[in-house]
Amino acid sequence: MIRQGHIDQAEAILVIWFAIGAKAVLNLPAAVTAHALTAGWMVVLGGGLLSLAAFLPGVLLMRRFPGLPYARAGDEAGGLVPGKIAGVVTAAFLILLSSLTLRQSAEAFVTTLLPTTPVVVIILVFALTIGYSAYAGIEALGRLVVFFVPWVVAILGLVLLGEVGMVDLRHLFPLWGRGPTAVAADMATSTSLYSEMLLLPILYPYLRRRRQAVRVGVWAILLSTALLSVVQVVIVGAFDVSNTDRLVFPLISLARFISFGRLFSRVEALVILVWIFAAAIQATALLWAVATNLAECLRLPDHRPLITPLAAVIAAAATVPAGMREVAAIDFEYVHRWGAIVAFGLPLALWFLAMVRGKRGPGASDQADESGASAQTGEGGAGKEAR
Amino acid sequence: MLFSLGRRRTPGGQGVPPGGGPEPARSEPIPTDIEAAFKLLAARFHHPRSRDITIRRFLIGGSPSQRAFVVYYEGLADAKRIEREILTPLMRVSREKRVAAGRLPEHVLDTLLPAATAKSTRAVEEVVGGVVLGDAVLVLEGGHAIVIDVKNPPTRQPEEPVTERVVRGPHMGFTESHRINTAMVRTFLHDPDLVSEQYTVGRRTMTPVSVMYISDIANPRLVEEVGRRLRSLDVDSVLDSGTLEKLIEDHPVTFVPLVLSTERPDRTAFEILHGAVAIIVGSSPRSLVVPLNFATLLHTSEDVYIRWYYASFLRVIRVSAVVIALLLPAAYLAILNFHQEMIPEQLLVVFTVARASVPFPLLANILLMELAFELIREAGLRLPSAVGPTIGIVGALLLGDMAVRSGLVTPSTVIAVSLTALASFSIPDPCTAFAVRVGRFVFIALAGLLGFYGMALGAFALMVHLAGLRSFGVPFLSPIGPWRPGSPDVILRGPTWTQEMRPIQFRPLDLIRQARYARAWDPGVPGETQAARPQSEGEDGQGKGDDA
Repeated sequence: MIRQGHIDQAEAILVIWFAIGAKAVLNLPAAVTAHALTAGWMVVLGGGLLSLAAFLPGVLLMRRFPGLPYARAGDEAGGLVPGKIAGVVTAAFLILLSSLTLRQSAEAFVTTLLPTTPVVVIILVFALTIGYSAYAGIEALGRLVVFFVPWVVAILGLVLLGEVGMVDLRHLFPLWGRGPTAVAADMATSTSLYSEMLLLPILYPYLRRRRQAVRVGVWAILLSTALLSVVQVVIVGAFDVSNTDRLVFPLISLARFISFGRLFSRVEALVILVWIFAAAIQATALLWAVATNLAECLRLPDHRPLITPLAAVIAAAATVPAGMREVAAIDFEYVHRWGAIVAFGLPLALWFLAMVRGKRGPGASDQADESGASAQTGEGGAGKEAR
Repeated sequence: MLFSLGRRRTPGGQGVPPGGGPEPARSEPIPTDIEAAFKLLAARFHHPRSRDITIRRFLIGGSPSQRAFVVYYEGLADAKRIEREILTPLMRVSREKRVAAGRLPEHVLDTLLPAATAKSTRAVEEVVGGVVLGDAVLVLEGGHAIVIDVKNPPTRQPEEPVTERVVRGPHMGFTESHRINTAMVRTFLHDPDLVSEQYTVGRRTMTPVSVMYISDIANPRLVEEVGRRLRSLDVDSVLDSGTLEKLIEDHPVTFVPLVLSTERPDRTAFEILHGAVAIIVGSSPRSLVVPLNFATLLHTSEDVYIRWYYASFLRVIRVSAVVIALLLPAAYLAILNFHQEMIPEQLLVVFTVARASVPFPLLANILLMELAFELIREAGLRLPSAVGPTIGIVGALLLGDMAVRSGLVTPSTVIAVSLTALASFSIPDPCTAFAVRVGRFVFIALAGLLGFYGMALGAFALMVHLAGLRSFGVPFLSPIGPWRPGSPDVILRGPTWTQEMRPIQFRPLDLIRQARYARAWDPGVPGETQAARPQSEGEDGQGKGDDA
C-alpha cells in the first residue's frame, strides 16, 4: 500500500460530505426537480436512505482484505483480470465524475464571478489548484476540511435560513409529484447521487480506526442526504417547480436575494467564494482517489506522478461538452442514473466474488484489522508520511 | 507515531552530545613532552601570528618544579581570574611540597585550583574546543590538560526586548551571552527537572547549543528528535539562531516559520511548561522553541498576564490583522475590477469618479503604492535611529498627500494600503509578518487576474500548504486541524483557572497542568477541593472582614 498518512473519522465524514454535498450548489436541484417535480426532496431523501445499505458491501470487501487498498482488494477478490477491469472502470468513473463537476463548477464561477473570462481559463486554474492540493495528500485535505466546515455551514445557513421567508410550502404539493410508483423508482436510481461514496473504500486503508468505517459511511450519507433534501425543499418552496427547472444554478439564484442593508447589496459572489472551497475540496478528494486507485491498480510505488497527468485529463474532459445544458444532460441522464452501478454495484460484485471464491486477506478478522490501524494512530509521524 | 523521524538514519555529524548520544570521534592525544605540546598548540592556534591568543609558560612550585603553560584568548577569558585562580596558586606552591609526578593533574585539580568549573582531559580537540569557547587550558607535563571555565565574553546586561515589548510582564530579553540566556530561563523555572543538554554545532564556529526541557513533561521522543537533528548537522558555521532554525525545521522551503523564535525568557519558559523544547543558540539573543503551531504565532507573552478577555480580544485583532494584511489590497482590487455589484451604487460612483482622473490601471496603482510602502519601511529599518523618523515624514508625504494630489493614485487606494500597513505591523511574530508581506503580492496578482476566484483558489492552496506542514512531527494547524481537544488557549484564551491541560498535540508526559479547581480557596468550588483551605477561614470571619 502506498503510504500516505492517515485521516480521522470525522475528517473522512466531512471529506465525503463535501464530495457529495458540493453538487447542491450546482445544477442538481434543478435536474431533480425537472424529473421528480414536487417530490424531488423525497427522491433525494429516499436515495440517501437506500445508499445506507448500498455502501456496506464496499466496507465488507475492505474488511476481508485488511491493509490492502481498494484496487488491490479487487485484484484479490475477483482475480487479476476482473480486478484490473474493476480498477480501470473505477478510475474512469471517478475521472468522469471529476470532469463533470469541474465543468459545472467552472460554469457556475463564470456565471457568478467572471462573466467575461473564458471557461477554459477557469478550468485550467482550478485543475492546477486541485493538482497541487491532491499532491499534498489526503492527510492535509482531511485537516483542511475541519477549517472550512464552519464557513460553508455558515454560508449555507445564511442562504437557506435567510430566505426561509420566501418558501411557500404550497409549492411542495402535490406531495407525490408524478405519483408514488414513479417516486419509488426514482429513489432507486437516485442512489447514484451518492456515487461519491466510492471514496469510502478508497479511503478505508487510511482511516485511523478502520472499524469505524461503517459509522463514517452512515454519517456521511446522513449529512449529505439532509443537505440535499433541505436544499431541494427550500429551492422548490421558494421558486416553485415551474421556475426551478429553468434555473441553471438555483442555489446561487436564491443567494441573489440576500442583502445586508446598504453596505452589501448582492452577496452571491461571497456565497460562491466560499463555495469555491467546497468545490475544490470535492475535486481534490476525487483527483486524489483516482490517482491513488490507479497507482495501486498499476502497482506503482507512489501515486503522485499520476496527479499532474490525471489533472490534465480531467481538465481536458471538462472542456469537451459544448455548454452547461450538455453537461447537465450527461450528468443527470447517465451519471446520476447509472453511477450507482460502479459506485455500489462494483464493490458488491467484488465482495460477492471474494465470498464465492473464499478469498480473504491475511489476518482478516476484525481484531487484526483494528490492530493494524491502531498501530498507525497518533499524529502520524512525518518520517513515515509519504504524503 | 508522533516523532517517528527519530528512527531515520542520517550521516554522522558534528554535534557533540553531552552524553547518551553516539561517542565523539577519538581525538589526537596531547604529547607527553611539554615542549611538543606547546609547539602543537601554538601551531593549532597560529601563535604568535594570531595576536589575541596567549600562551603563558610557567613553573608549578613544589619539588621538583613542573613545567606548564596556560593558553587562552584575550578578551574571551577573564585574565584577572586566570591570574587569581590559576597562576597565583600554582606558582606559589611551597618548594617543600612533594608531589609524585604521575599524580600532578589530580593534585592540581583537587587542591590547587580554586576555579569552580574545571575538568581534566588528554585530548587536543577538547583543549581547542575549550579555548575557542573562552576557557583557559592548563597544560601539564605528561600529556595532561585541565580545562578551566573562566569565560568572560563581551556581553551586555539584559534589556527590554526590541520586538516583543509588553506593558505587563517581565521587561527582560535574552542577551548575547549563552550562559546568561540559559540562566534567564532558569530564573523563571526553578525546577531541578529542567534539563539543559549542550551540543556543539558548526565545525568552525563551534557554537554551543543548549537544549532545555522539563524531563517529566517533554515527550522523550521530541527531545531525542531535537538531539538527533542537532547531532546530524554538518555545517561549518552557525552564527545565530536564525541559521540553526533553517537547518532543523521540517520543511525548509516553506514561507512560514516552523520554529518559534523569541527574545523573551518568560515566553521560552512558558512554552517549556507546555511540553516544548527550547534551543538556546550560542550568543544569539533569541531562543528557538519547538514544536510550533500556527496559533502560537499569533500569541504574545502578555496574553498570559492580562485578563483573559483582553487577551482574547487582542488575539481576534491579530487574526484580523493577518487577514487584512494578506487580503485587503487584493479584495479591494477584486471588488473594483470584477465584482462591482457587491458594493452600493453611491460608493461605486465615488470610486469610479476618483479613478477617472488616475492614468494607471488599479492593479498598477496598488502595486506602486505597496512598493513605495515597502521601500519606506526598508529604508526606515536601515537608517540610523536619529534619521529614522524623517523617513516617516517623507513617507507620509509621498504615500499620502503628494501621491493623491498629483493624481497618481486615488485616495481610497491610499486608505487600503495604509490599513494594510497598519495591519502588518500588528502581527506579533516578525517571520509571520514577512510571510504575509510577500504573500500579499501573490494575492494581489491573483485578484488582478481572476478576482475573487483567483483569491479563493490562492487561499485554498495556501491552506492546503499549511495543513500539510509539520513542526517536529506535530501538524502545524493542530489543535484545529487535526482537531485535538484541550484547554482554551488556541485563538481565544480562556481564564487562567481553565488552563488545566498542556497542549495535547505535543504529547507531554504530564498532560495535566493544574488542578481542575485551581482556585481551591474559592467558596464556589466543590466541597472536597475546599479541604485545602484552612478550617478557620470560614469560622473566624476573616473572609467577612475582608469583604467588609
